[in-house]
Amino acid sequence: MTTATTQEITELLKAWSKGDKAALDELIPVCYWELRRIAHRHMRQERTGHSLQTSALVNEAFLRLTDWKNVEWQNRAHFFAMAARIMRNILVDLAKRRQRARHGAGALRVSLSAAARVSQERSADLVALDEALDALARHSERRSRVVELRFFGGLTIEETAEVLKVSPETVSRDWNLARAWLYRELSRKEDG
Amino acid sequence: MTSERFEQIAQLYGAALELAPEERASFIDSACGADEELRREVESLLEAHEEAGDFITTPAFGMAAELFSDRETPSLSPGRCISHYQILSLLGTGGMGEVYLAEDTVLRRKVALKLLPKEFTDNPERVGRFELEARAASALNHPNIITIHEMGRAGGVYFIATEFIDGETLRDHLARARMNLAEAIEVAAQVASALDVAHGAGVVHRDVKPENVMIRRDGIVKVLDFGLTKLTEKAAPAAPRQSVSSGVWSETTGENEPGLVLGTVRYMSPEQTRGSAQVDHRTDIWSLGVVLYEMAAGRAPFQGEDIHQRITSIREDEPLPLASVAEGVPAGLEEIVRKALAKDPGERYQTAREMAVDLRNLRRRLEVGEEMARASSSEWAFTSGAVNSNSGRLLTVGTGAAEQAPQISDAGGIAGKSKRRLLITLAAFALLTAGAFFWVYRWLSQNHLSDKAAAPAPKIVPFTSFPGVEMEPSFSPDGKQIAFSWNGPGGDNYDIYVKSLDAGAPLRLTNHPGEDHFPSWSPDGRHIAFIRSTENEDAIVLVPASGGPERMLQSVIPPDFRLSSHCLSWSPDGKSIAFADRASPLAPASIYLLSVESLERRRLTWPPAGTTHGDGAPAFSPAGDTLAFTRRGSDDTDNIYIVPVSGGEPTRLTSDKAIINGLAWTPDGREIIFSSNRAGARHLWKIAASGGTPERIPAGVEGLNTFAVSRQGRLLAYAATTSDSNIWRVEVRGTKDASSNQPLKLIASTWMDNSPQYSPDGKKIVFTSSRTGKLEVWTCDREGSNLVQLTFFNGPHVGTPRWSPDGREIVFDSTAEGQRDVYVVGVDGGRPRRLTVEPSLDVRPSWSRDGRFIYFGSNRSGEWQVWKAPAEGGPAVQLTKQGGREAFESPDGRFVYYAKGDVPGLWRVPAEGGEEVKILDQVRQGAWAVWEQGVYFVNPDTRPHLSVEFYSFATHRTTRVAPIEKELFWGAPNLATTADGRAILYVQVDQTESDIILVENFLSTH
Repeated sequence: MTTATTQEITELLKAWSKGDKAALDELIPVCYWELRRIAHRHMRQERTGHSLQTSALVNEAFLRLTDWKNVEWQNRAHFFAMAARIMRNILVDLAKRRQRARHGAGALRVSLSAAARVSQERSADLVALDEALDALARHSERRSRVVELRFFGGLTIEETAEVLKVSPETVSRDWNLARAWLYRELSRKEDG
Repeated sequence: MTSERFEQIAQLYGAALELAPEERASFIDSACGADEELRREVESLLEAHEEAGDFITTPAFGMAAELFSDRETPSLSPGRCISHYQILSLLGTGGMGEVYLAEDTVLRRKVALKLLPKEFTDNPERVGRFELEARAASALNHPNIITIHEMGRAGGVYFIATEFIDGETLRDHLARARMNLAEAIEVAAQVASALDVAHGAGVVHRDVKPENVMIRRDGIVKVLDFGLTKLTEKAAPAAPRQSVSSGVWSETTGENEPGLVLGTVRYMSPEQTRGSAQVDHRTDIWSLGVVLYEMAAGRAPFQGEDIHQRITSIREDEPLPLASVAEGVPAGLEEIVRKALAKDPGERYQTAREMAVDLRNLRRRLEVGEEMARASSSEWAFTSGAVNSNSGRLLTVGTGAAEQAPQISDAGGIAGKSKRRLLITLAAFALLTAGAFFWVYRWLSQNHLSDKAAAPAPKIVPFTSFPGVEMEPSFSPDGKQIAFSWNGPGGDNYDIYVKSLDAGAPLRLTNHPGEDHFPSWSPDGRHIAFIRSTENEDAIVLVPASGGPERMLQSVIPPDFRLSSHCLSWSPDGKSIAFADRASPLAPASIYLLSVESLERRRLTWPPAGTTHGDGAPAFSPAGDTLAFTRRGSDDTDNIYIVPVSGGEPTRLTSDKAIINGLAWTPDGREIIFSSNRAGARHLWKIAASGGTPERIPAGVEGLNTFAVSRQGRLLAYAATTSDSNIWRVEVRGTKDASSNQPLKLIASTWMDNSPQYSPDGKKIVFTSSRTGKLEVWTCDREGSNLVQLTFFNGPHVGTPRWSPDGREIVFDSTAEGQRDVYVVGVDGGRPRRLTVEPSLDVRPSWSRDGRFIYFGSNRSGEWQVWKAPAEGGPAVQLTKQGGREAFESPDGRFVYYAKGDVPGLWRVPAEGGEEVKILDQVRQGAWAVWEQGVYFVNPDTRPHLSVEFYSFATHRTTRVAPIEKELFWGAPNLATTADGRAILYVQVDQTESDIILVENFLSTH
């Protein structure tokens, strides 16, 4: 086996978009390989001076994986939403496995910040973020999705607005709130 | 916190954020007033905002690389248990899994426990394929095939427990020491014996190589990993048309992709290098030839700097003669290698048995020569490679005399003298080839294995593996026995048998010339009711479960659709039996209840007016107050209904366009389990009895036919059915004297090869085949060679491929996008183009002779009619008025001939439309082919003596043209002819196998 065929993934995506939850479980591993392959390629490029174009990566992965034209996407936004959701699943899953593999809380943190000054004491891991996002969704589904789309899907404010069918200003406000809220939740968790 | 409260906080926070930092405090003071909680919330959020820095501003993919590149340590440490196996040590890791030495804590024996990488087992289809093959392999009982104790699943990880082999792999052996020729021949002979048995059971190894051959300390050779390639191979390469670069193997990509392991290509047959699809058992013979060459020569026969060179070498090079690379090679061995390594599978050894026989004969001749040489000379010449071996007694240089030595019949005596002493240092299980991606599996498995208190895992156990067809299982009330229908060792007549789950031979309950089907165990366990079909009638019959006199209860007219709808169901109180019956052979079926005591019957369902097929597959709920059944609509699809046993209006549970093949309730009566192709391939699903969305049951059920659930709910028994249909050709000398040549099996695989049609020039054939594991459209030339795969749907149904008049395109139907629709694909491959888009079923297309239109059957008007649409796309028009499903234009383009799905007969209408005229009575859909002078057809009413018959347009007479040996495959078009009517293709079911498989804990989800 190499990567799954385009048709296979397209079928799964179709099934998933029609509400077949089990299809997501099958999608994750096949998408995983493609993402991993692309990530590695980009890492090599990074070493040779190219930078990592995050949202482009996600999009590339899914455009490569799916027979884009053959899936009856409701629209472009739908596609991005699905991509972000898959990304979240894969990354959180990876982090969870890594957590368990390491048998220790200290070593398993994945920094959510790029800057070192905050990462040390204020970083939190993806798993906690995932849980906090779920908690946020219970208060406000939309704000949780803003984070999912921007952080996991790599979308810009404008793209996120298109997906959620709200104004960029709203996304911007949501983003500010959600980021503070999540940061606070994770800090509390850490302190406690 | 309420959402109003949250919004309030959000509003205040947002507003505060827009202010300058120094203005915020007073704003919050005034806005929050005495609401301290509100103030705290807003302030803490503002504080978090200040501190958050670039928290989550870099999208997550940035960290993906780090996560993805993480490597883990081995997944299981000694002492850990999987199922009832306790890990002792790691034997090895490889691309196909980790292998541990473990102890079976129940049977107190050592086993090798292989954990399958999760990336291979994530896909249920693939697991299903693997399970089917592994089951077949586990049924192989041969000293040279590793014994599989158990396949199972624990904590989400599939494992295989096999006998532990105290020895080393042939790869390690080769790496350690050069083998002497006798040893090499002996090892090859044992491998050939193993392959012969496996091939006889329909199992092709596909990956014979030194890593998969183990040599035990006592010299016994064991072949490993039958069926495992099913896990790694794709059903078909992703790229259109197979090519070296299509990703069939990993080396071409240059990336560390999972999949075929580096080095494997060395043992691939030429046909395998062209794509996994076209290989049969002869690929194993090639691979063994490569192994043999390598053992004898100490080097691989085909070499190259990189994979491309190696493949080119495999396809084109003749290997150097063994004699030129090793000393003392007898001509006989050279010949065996040459025959195993013939590029064309047709010129190779056709069976592993032939090769095994040649190897053993050679071995005997050499031993005799050896003895003679020993007797005649004190000077004993060893081959250079054999000198260091204590087995020593090997090949003399120049054994010409030995070659002519008489064969010795007592092979055992000779073999016994040959004490192979293989120096064995390692107790390593096989599969040591390094799989670069193995680490991923490790975390997956670790993750799962660390889940505590996992539910008991599904476990698959073969229940019957008799020759022929065993199906329609029914559990005894205590769940300890299963009654089933079997067509017996002779494969000629179905009777009812009972077999205990523990062991033992089956007990034959009935012995009647009628066909006995659908046993159903009474709730008190004392009787079994079943359906008996004789020439005159069908009847419900009762027989004591331990054997004894039968009692006929009721004659019935079973439904005219799907066999599983005929089944019987006992009420839990044992007083009545639910069954499907029809008032007349023309009426739709309804569900009835039959009182076992009084034999009174009560009708329970009334299918709506206009229904042609009606109701079937009744199943009592465990409480006995409700009955589930299937109703077949006029569109030929089934849905589940439930109805109170006391009577009333049925409630519809599903709204699928799918075929349902059996129902069962869960023991708690809350759910109904059913078999359906609602998502493509057939799977088990469950739906709440109160309605809802069906949910797929993950347990693998490859080849699922009929099934039953034990009353305790833990066990599933199902019939796994496989058919091997092949395309046969018969050539007609003349239709006048009705003479024909011997039929020839033209296109064959161990899978389904169906729906052939000749190209307009008669030089090529298009057909469908499931030889890749999935049904796809293929073409070949008229002699059955040069196979080309045209479609790569990888799953959905594909059927009825037909050539365009210019021979450049193929029209076919497929469920690729849900409903059955008509597609067109070029004969050079490429992307199929969808022609019909209506939500109806559009089936069995064919071209008009001028190539402008495509005819097809469609139920878009509410009933089946023949329609025609422009071949380039566009609106279709209805051609027939009184029904029609499968049409062909006459060669002169004036008429359209067609069959209907439900009634026998062949009709025609003028191509421009008009009144229909019936031409023939006995024609069935799929079993006719029209050409200039008449129609070939097969009349199923002439069973058991089927033949191709010819109806002449000129004389209006019908003559028999060619007898057909076995049953035709009726599930797809099965008859075709050339334009001149000289050659006929038909699809014959050459073998049907069905075994009953048990799945323990089949409802477990992980």
